Parts: sequence; C-alpha cells; structure tokens
Amino acid sequence: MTVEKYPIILDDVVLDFPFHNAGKTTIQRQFLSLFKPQNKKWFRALSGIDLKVKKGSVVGMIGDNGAGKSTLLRVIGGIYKPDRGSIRVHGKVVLLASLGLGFSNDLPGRDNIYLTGGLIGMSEAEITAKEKDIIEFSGLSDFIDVPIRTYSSGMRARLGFSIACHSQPDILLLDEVFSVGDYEFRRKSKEKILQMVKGDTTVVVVSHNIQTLEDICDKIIYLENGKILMSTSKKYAIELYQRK
Amino acid sequence: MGGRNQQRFASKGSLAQKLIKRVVKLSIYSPEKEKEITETFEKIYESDQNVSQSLIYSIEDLIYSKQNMIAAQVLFKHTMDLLRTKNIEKCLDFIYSCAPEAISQESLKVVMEIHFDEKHYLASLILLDGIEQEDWVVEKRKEISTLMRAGKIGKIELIYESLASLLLTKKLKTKTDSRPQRKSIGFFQSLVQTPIVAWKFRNQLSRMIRRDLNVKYQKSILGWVWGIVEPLALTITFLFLFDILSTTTSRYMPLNIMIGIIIWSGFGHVMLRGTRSLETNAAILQRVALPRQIFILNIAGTSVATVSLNILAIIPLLLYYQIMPTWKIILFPVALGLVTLYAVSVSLFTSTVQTKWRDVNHFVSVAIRIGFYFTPVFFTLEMLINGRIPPEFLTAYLILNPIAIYLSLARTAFTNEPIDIGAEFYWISLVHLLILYSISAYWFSKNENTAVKYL
Repeated sequence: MTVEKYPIILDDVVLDFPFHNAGKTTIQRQFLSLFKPQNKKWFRALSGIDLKVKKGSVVGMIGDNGAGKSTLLRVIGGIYKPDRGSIRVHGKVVLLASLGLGFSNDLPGRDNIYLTGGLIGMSEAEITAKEKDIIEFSGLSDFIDVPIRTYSSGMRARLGFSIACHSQPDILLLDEVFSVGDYEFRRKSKEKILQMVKGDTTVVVVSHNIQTLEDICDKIIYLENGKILMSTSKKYAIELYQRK
Repeated sequence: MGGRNQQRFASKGSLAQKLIKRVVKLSIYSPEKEKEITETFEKIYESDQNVSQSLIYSIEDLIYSKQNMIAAQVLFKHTMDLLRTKNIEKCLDFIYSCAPEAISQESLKVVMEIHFDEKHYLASLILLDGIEQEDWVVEKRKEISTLMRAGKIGKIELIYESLASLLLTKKLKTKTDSRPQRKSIGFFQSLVQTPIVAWKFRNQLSRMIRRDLNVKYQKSILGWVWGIVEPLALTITFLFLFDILSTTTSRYMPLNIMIGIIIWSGFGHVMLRGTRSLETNAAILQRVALPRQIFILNIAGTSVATVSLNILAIIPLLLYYQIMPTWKIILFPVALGLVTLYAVSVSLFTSTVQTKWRDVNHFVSVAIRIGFYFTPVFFTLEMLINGRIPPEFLTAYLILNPIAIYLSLARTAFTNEPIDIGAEFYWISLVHLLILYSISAYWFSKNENTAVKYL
C-alpha cells in the first residue's frame, strides 16, 4: 500500500565512493602507493538517507556542489546500488541529465530517437507512435534528419528532454536540465512537467536555478555532505540555502 | 610507520615499548585472551605512565596500514578500561585523540558512561545517538533528562535535548520497519544472468548492433566492401610470409589463413572493445539503469555479424578449389560462437577491472598480439601436430589454448580436412571455456556495482 502511495522510499541509504580521483588509476600508481602511507580509500557520498516521495509530487533538491544530489538521483534511478539500507522504487524511472544519453553522433536525430527511446525502455511500436510528437516538441523539425554531431548543446538537450517526457515514465528524474535550452523551451518544458504531474508522474528535480524550483516544486530537500539537512516546504529551504 | 613514531613517545627498547608490541600482537592474534591483555596493560602502566600517545599510534597503525579494525577496537577498549581506573583526565584525552574507527559499539557505551559519570550530560546525549541498542538508549536518555532538569541547564542544552529526542523517535520509527536487505547473487544465478540479459533485451541489442554496422560502413565510399578488403590484404601478406618461411606446402593454405585471420580479428575485436565496454559507455551507464552486460553483448553481436560478412570473402577461393559445402559447414557457426563466447568471458572479467585500472586494456592488447602468433592463425594446427613439438607439450598446448581447436573446427567446416587430435580434447576445450565463463560471470556479478563507481 505504501508503495502505491509513495513510489520512492529510501531507508537509511548509504553509498561509498572510491577515492579514485586521487589518481590511483593505473597499476603503476597503485604499486607506487604501496610505499606511501595509506589514507582513506572511500568517502561517503550518501550517509543515511531516509526519503519518501509522495506519488504525483514534484520534489526539488538543492545543495552545494558535491553534496550528493546527482548521486542520490542515480541511486533512485537504479544506477548505483546502495551499499547499505534499502530502496524501493515503484514504476518506470527515467533519469535525464544535462547531456543527451546514448546519442550516437554519426546518426541523424530520428535514428537516435529510436536508440535512446529503446535505452530508456520504450518499445519500437511505442516510439513509432510518438515519433511525430517527440520531434514537434523538441522543435527540431528541419534538423531531425541531420547527424547529431552537428547539433548545438541546446538542441541535444531539447531532443533528450523530449524523448524522456514522451516515454511516459512513472518517475521522472531531472538533473540540471533547465539550465539549457532557450526561454521558449524552458517555458514549454515547465508546462510539460506540470502536465505530467497532473497525470500522476512523480518528479524529482535537481537544479541550481532557485526560481525554477520555486515555480514547480511542492517540496524541497536540502542536501549537505551526503545528508538530508532538511526536507520542508520550499520557502524555508530556499531561504536557508540563499542565506548561506 | 608505527615504529618510528613510537620512538618519540616510548623510548626504543624500553620495557613499555616491548610490552606495547606484545599487546598489539595479542590483540591481533588472540583478542579473546582478555585477562592476559589486561595484565599486560597493568604492566605497561607500571613501567611508563605516559604511554597513551604510543598506544594511539599503534591503534592508528592497525587501522590505516594493517586495516585490522578488530584488533584496533580491542586495543582501544583495554587502554580505555585501564586509564579509566587510573586517571580520568588522561582517559578522556586518549578518547578524544584516538581515531574514531577504533571505537566499537561496546566501547562507545563505556565512553558514554565515562562522560555520564563525569556529569558531561550534553556529551553523553550526543554519544547516545551513535549507540544502536535502542532500549538501553531510551532508558539512559530518560535518566539523563531527569538529571539535567534537576540541575541547572542552559538554553543550548535544552534545545539540544529536544532535538535529540525528536531524532530518536524518528529513528525508532524507521528501524521497526522490516528492511529488505540487498540480495546477493548466488553462483549459479550469476551464470544465467548474461543469457537472460541477452534474451530480455534482444530488441534493443539488435538495434544497437544495426547502429554499429551502419556507423561502421555507412560513411565510407566502398561501404561493405571494406569488410572484405581487410582480411584479403592480410591473407596475401601472410601467404608471402608463409612462402618464405615454410617448407611444407598445404593445398588449402590461402583458404586456411583467410579463415584464421577473419575469426581472429573478430576475436581480438571483442576482447579489446569488450574490455573497454564499461569505460566507453560511462555516459549511458550513469544515466540509464541498464544491465551492464549489454554493452559486451552488443560488441559480441556486432563482431559475429562482421565476421559473417567477412567470411563471404572466401567464396572465390571455394570456387577456385571447387569445394562444395557439406553438412560440416554448420561447424563454422559453432566455432564462431565458441570463440565469441571465449572473448565475452574474458571481457566480463577485464571490463570490471578496467574501470579501476585503466591499463588493463594495454595488457589485453599485448596478449592478443602474442596470442596471434601462438595460435594457429596464419598456420594450421596440423603443422603443429606434425611439427617439431614434443607430444607432451602438444597436449598441454591443446588444453591451454582452446581457440586453436575452435579455429581448426572453423577450417574443417569448409575444407573438410580431418583434425588429427583425440576426441577428448574437444571436451577439454569445452570444459576450459565453461570454467572460464563461470569464474568471469561470477566475478562480474560480484564486482559490477563497485566497478561503475570508478567511471
């Protein structure tokens, strides 16, 4: 019952990351590091996240860079398996990050719709049925049969967003997608999201654009150092975030 | 590291130093001998009262260099127990400067009690948060609250107290839920994982393979012809080389070399690209929850399609030799499948390691080049059998290199030349492949989740 009401339930989720950015990427370096004193090998990206998201709500996430926002989105999206704790996600999830996913640069946009659509779990028939809508929404009418490598970053993002929206996900995860695209497209995508929410889609959105969050979110989560500092009404969290 | 630092605090060769070494050893190898450890600690304290620094370094050494948490926790517990009875100030100093990893749940309880006895109520409340034993925490919290309220308490304490109680109730609520633990995948389950993925995602896979072929051949002028030109050119090269180097002549040599090269290039392709499959598809892996095997399967499928196309290049040779394909021709797809499965098995292992150590692909590419000369690619297995190799080495060779057998199978599919090895070697090669696949598939299922974190 709770699963129906709360499609996303995270219970004490912990995720550790290797400290690979310290540069131990080759065996040679690994070998050399044997002679140096060992320091911490893992850092805790998410520590003890408890989260419940109500069906059909729009939840925003704010926090500094490296606070764990994108990581948390990926955990919800099933990309990283938590090291501890449990996660229950009910329904079809689509994660959309700022860059287009699975785009093959040498193929035209139309072929990429099929490829990307397939990657995020649409069937061939489904894509064929929605192809026209996707192209229309992305506003790429003339460019759709041109190889993707000639697209601008905004065009790519528009195509990606358009595919993701038309795949009819139960849960849509958006990572910094509103910072790209022109004003007109931003207005359109905001409208689309609100329309999807009315149709019972749950949305979790990460953005640094406070204005966008304020406009579309029901609730805001403030992340800091892999922990949920607070999850309250948007007014509170945003005020706190800005004051910092 | 530990030794050098200890010098500064307990002079080298002193009794305390020796005793510390002994107590560290005890805590590593027999942490259950509590009495003995306690007695040693008494002796340490008798000989030198300022040893806590040395002990802290020993504990840090255990945690960070030797990564032996249990020993560190034992050491911490005993040091704390000892200092608690002797000098409470020193004990607190020791606790604060020690690495937090060394504090076990049991010790944490004691730490909390020390603070409680010292009337550091605020600190005790904070420490209570870390203790997992719920009933005891609730009891203790009540006790502390009443004591705090009885005494004079400031505003900060009051705020903290109410916050702590809030946190505690929240924690209790969530903990009572049944929490499903992450299922770990069993050995046999890991074996069928990859075939299941291949079947479930067959539509997507075929689309990805078609894309790869399109991208590969669409933009070149000669298109599909390129697939045939490459093996043809290589075959001619090796025919020349072969003519210079070898004295024996075989009737079907050009055909044999061509089949060998086409299959080997497919094999090397899967190995190389398969090893890098997780790395090159990082962008997709970080955005879509796909089974990670899909990329290796994609590469394998593309390679099978390419080899099937390239093998058409032998048709002129078949016409030249006037070979009519017999039923044996089905051995070719079988051999191709086995070779590809071998490459997939290796890739399952190497792709996960590659994400952590980016030089694995160099290793693989060197191995493929060496393997090219050690496998009958531009010569035949026949020549090895009738060659200067002692029979016992030949047996070892055939056991270790199943690809040699598969290549011969692929050749005999067209040339119908008999393979002069015992039937048991076919079984051995299959067992070899099966063992390799099992180990790799199990490794993959165990490590894939960690591997993607390195992307």
